[in-house]
Amino acid sequence: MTIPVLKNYINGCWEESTAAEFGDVWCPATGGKIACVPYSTKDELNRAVAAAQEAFWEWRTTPPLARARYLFRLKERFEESFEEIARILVLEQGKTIDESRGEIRRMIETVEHATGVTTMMAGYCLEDVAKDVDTIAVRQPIGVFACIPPYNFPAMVPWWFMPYALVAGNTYVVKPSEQVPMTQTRIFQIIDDVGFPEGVVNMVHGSREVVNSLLYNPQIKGISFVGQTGTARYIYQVCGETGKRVQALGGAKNSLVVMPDADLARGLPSIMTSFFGCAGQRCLSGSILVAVGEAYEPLKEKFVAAAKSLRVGNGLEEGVAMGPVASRAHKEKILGYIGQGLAEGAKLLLDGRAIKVPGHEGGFFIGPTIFDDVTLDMTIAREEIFGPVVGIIRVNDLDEAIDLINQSSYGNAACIYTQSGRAAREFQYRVAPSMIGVNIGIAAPMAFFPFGGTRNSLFGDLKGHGREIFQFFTDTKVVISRWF
Amino acid sequence: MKLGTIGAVLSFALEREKSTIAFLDDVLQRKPSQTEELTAVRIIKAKHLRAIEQLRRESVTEMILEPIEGLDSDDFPPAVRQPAGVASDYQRLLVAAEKDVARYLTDAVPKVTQKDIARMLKKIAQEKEELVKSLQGLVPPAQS
Repeated sequence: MTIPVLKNYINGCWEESTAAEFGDVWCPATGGKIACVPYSTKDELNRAVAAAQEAFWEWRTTPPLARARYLFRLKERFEESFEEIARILVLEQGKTIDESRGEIRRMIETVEHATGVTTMMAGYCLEDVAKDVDTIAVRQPIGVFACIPPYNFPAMVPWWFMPYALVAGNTYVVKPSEQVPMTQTRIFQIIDDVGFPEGVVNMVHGSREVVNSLLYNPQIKGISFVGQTGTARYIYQVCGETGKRVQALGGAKNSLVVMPDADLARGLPSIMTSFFGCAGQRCLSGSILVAVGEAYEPLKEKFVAAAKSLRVGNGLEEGVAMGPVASRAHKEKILGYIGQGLAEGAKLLLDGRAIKVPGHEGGFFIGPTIFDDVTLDMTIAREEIFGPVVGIIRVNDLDEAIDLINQSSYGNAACIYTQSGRAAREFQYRVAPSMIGVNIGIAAPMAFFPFGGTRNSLFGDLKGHGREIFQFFTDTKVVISRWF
Repeated sequence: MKLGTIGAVLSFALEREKSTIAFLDDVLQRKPSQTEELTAVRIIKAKHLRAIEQLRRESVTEMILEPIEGLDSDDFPPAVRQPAGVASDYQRLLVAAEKDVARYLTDAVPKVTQKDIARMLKKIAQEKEELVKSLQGLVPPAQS
């Protein structure tokens, strides 16, 4: 089998990179190498940015509705290629085919939402702010923006930002995750077919050098990043130094609180999805299961039984409920956390370390893993594991559960399962995280609401998508006028 | 194979729909005397295919790890296979194929928890019952 070498997309052309170094792309289900990705040079990145800068003025003066029509065409082409993109995504990322379909759907929804530019980008005005003086505020595009997405959602995350940036009149550069670059490469083939003007949208593969080149390139006006907290903090700091707009979404340590009155029969599927969906590799995944009072025994029994019955396998097989984790290195990291949990005294109720998937001996599989007797001082209770590993913590009441959540350095998501409106209100009012689920295990805001957390989960002021995203991608110009 | 997820349920329906359409296309290529009627059937089947594909694209927005119980592809063996040559009793085979898909969809409806998907599958199953009646009208008397 020939291993494809991925190309960059710069100024409307596919280009082979002149990189000296290339990375390997692996299929997590088989452990086989499936592509080579160039670690592109600073020069290549700078050419892409220059092309985007060159294309900016003409694109910026294109009427918003005409810009939106490119997105309508994209949506149509994405629908046509839906299943193909979904399968490429599974191949390189490992998630199940249904999870992949869900991701592509979410990606398309942001495109659909961004086509509402003529309403969402509109400014406002007021006559007679003083005698014969009127004031208007208009939103203007700014220039070249860039996105550095993570490996867990290779299709969706760049599109939390890109359609809004483009439809607002900016031009764009994407650096896909070097672990999962194939999905976005296929998407860019569709972008190429749709026929955006040269330079408006660009893709440069790479690793650290490309990231730093983006951060320090003075023509880049803003960066959208999603990934680990340490990197998010670094990007935020550098963008501060270099005067760029920045939204850097970091890691998470999310808790799901189950109250004694929770409807477990109806809630359990979404609790399962929260902890084990995408093999726990979502920034919205549950990591700590907080059992309040008498909820503990029935919850533990049902949760462990359901986790044991999950079918783990190659995500390309219909009916598989959980795929592998995304890389061999990440698998090792997760195994390290499990070992650490045991060493620090947590009790293993379900051990996914030795799972075997027939025919996939080289795959990066870890089965559902559940710890009991977890306490907040343990590493597995504090740090983001980003895998199918759950820690159960018992608390006496809702106050204790809220205190536990608010002790975390992260602030991405928190969920509660209850039939009490009073308890739900108290919870959503007092917990620090920004994305809250009530009888929902993955509190994922859809395209028309903002996505992002607080504390160490978000560095920046404006979140992904939602109405606010147009603030990130535009400058509000105020014109105060008087005619004599 | 157990059809334990919504994607698996819909993919199996699509697989069956596609194989029957392929069979029907083979029949139509031979320009049978009932070309007009069979073309009408083909149009309805294409509509069903599009509807199920659309369901799979648009309705699987979140993977719910609640296994769907009691659906197994082995319980629905294909009534038609891609033929080397089209059988002379193709009308009867088409009736059987449509009946099988309708039975599958009817069985799937109560097991699917997403109401919008269940509603659409039920609608398609009902339309297939009508299609079966139309196809039965095409079966020569000796075969019926």
